[in-house]
Amino acid sequence: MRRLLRDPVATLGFGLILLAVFVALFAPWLAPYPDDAFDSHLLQRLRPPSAEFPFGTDNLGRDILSRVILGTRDALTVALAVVGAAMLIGVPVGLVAGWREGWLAELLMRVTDVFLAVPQLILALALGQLMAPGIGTAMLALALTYWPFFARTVFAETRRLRGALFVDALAGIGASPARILLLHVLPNAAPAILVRATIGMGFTILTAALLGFLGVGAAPPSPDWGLMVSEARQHLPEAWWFPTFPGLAIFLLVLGFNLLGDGLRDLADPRLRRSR
Amino acid sequence: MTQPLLAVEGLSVALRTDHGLARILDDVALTIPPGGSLGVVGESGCGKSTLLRAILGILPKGATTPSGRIRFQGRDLLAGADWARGRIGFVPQDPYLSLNPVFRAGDQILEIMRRHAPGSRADHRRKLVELFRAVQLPEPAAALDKYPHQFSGGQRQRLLIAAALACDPALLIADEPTTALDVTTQREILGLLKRLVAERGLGLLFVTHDFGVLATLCDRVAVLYAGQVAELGPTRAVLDTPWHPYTRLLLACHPDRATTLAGIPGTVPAATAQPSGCRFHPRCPLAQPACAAAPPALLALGERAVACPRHEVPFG
Amino acid sequence: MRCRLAELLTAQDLVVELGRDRLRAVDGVSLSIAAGETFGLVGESGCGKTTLARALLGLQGVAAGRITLAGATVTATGRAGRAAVQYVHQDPGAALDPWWRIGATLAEGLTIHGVTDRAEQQARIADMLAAVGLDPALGARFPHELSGGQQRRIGIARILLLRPRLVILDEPTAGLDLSVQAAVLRLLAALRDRFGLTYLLISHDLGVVRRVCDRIAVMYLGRIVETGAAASLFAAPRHPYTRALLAAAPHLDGRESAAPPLSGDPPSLRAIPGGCRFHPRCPIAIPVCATTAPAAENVTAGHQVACHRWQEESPHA
Repeated sequence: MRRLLRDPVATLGFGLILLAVFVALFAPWLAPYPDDAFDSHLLQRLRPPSAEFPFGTDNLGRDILSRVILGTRDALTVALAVVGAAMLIGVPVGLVAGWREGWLAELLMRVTDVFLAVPQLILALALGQLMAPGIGTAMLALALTYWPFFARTVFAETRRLRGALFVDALAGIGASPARILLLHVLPNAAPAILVRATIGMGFTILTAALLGFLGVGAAPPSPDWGLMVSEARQHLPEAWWFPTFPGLAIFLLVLGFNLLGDGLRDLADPRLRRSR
Repeated sequence: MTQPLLAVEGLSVALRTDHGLARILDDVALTIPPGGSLGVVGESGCGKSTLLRAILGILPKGATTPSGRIRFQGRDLLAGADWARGRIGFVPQDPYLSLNPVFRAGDQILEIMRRHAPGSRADHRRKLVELFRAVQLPEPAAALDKYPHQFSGGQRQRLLIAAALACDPALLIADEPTTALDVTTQREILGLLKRLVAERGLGLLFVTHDFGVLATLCDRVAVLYAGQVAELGPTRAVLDTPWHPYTRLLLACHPDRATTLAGIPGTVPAATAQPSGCRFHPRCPLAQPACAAAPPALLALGERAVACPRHEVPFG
Repeated sequence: MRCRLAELLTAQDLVVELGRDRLRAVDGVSLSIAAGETFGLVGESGCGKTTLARALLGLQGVAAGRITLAGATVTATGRAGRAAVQYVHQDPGAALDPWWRIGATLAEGLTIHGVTDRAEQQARIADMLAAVGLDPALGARFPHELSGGQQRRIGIARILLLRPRLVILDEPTAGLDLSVQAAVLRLLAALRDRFGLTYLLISHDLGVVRRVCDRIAVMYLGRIVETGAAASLFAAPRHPYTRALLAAAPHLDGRESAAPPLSGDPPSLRAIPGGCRFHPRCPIAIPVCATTAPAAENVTAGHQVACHRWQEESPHA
């Protein structure tokens, strides 16, 4: 942790995320007009930023600042749920495939490759057509396309650790594979998983916003950032503030996760240069 | 009196670390006459690799500017060593790590020759084939175009010896060149080094932790402890009747000598926290209060020198 | 010299094949280790010593042959049936999980072997740490907080906690300074006496083997070429390879052996020579060596050699 804070760029990312978490936790108290998530006030539609409405109002007269604040919670929840689900699938697959030799490992990794080859947006659009479009479907699509990244990461770590002397020593004193994998390999792979999860959070927020923008993610009137940008399209270029602030929120949060992820990666493996 | 080939005088090197200034080498003095061989022996952390690096001018980042002098053929290397490149050949420790695997072995050596030896590429190739023959590589002409992985460990060490000799050096420096090899291969490599050094009249500075290797190869030996010379003299004399208590204890650990597996009490001090006075005194069975007070001078006695006033006192 | 004791571990005509190419890393090895002795296994890299050790431990499957432990056949039991045989890595410090505290690592072995009572675990760990000369308070540290020597002691303590009868020591002194090497060997000797251990010591350092081993087997390319009591084997080596190994070890007095050095590098398992495997490098090979593999013959009781010409050549160390 102290070493992380020595890296100014990663600290900036960490700060952005802490800010977002704080905003998400206390959104109803921070937002000037907490009811504006759903209420509409047609009389004050499309007002430019002012003291009353710092980020202006949208096409239904709702305070954009309040909606950006209220949307933070949804964005983080979606990202956490998707990354969590992807980890639940990907980590065990990677562990087993990395540990075993032979057909099972081959099968698992080939299935992983197949999922890796499916374009995320197309799967989300297809699922949206098959099932009801909505945030649940979007999350399912994101989780289904993100778990292979965890499987790959954990696979590589497990393969590396399987050759480590301490794993060999554990086998030597009679430790079972389950014990070695869960109690030794998994904690040793944790830094790599954490890095992958952090970058995955940013990636998921971006993609979820994109799905909202395309209309296969969150449905109106929920205060989804992507959806807000999408709704703003019809009012451009006059209402410039309408897409700008939700877009900025997406940008900052994704930036925060990527900077932190990069910083963590450097910590986990100082030999690698910072990847851009 | 002829001018020594290499003369190290009062060499001190320190390294800045997180724990303070580490005094790696402290007032080290050594000489090698032309055609002479000196073995530097000591345990890990005694400063032997830093000594080599200082002579080769490749001290790590964080090292202070060395004080003292390193004269090679009469000129100070610390004032600038570019002119000496090629005249000092270096045989590294690990033959597996010392060659770039993606380039042909011959090309890597020819590149060194292009920079430091006169002559055309054709001359260099001809000479290198001769060298490969001298180090007894099989099929010397074909070896030029092989990649490092096509050679075994022993053959790679032969390649590296050829590389060290490529620019007609006057001094050969070897850093434990056989520790990565099996004993039978080690014997071949040591025999080869001994023959080449004698045939070509080279000076040899050989760093090792193995007294046995030293005994077969070097006429003189310097024993380093905690960055200082503990004892210096003809190899036979030092190994037969070691004077310094450290040398005595260390040789008593050798499987050829050991009567009991005594070991040496305590551990080598950290370079950031060297003891006062004689650096060996906390581990020395002969230590007296005076030993902790002031560092002993290196007493020159005939051909030998020892940094202990109590070198004639037997262990109790 | 110890008197002849009961056989603790034996291997008969052991064959181990590695990988898809079924390379015979161990090819027809027989040996027997008596309870209480220190048995040295000597050979250069690639001779199959480590593979043989893994087969004896049950970590490596056996293609043919038989292994017995304290009289019972354990060839097919795998690792689980051989808790009495344990293995200490060349670098026991690197064999510690960097994320686990020392105490947890030590307790884990006990847990695996059925000692789950916390109080008993703690008592045994404290005893063992004292036995290897360490402060029991070290249990709260992580491996990287210990010195190399302390890590080494922890690695040995971890194995001895399992109360093995036979401990396989893989190059326990490789890369160590002389004074540290002496301390390690002294510790191992003290532990052997205290816990009644039997050692199988794998090493390429003949000086060390000579000092600590009662009996020695010399291995070359998957086969044992000579075996015997340390004293007689060093005094009168019969196999030309044993002689070459002894001649290659540098001595303090600087004397060099009259025996010519071996030519060529050790051959590979991928191209095993016919007949005697050593014949391409052997200074005294005759035509029959290239066609017929020599059988092990008794030189004296307990000293065996596999060489066609052992009787003709006068031994010189």
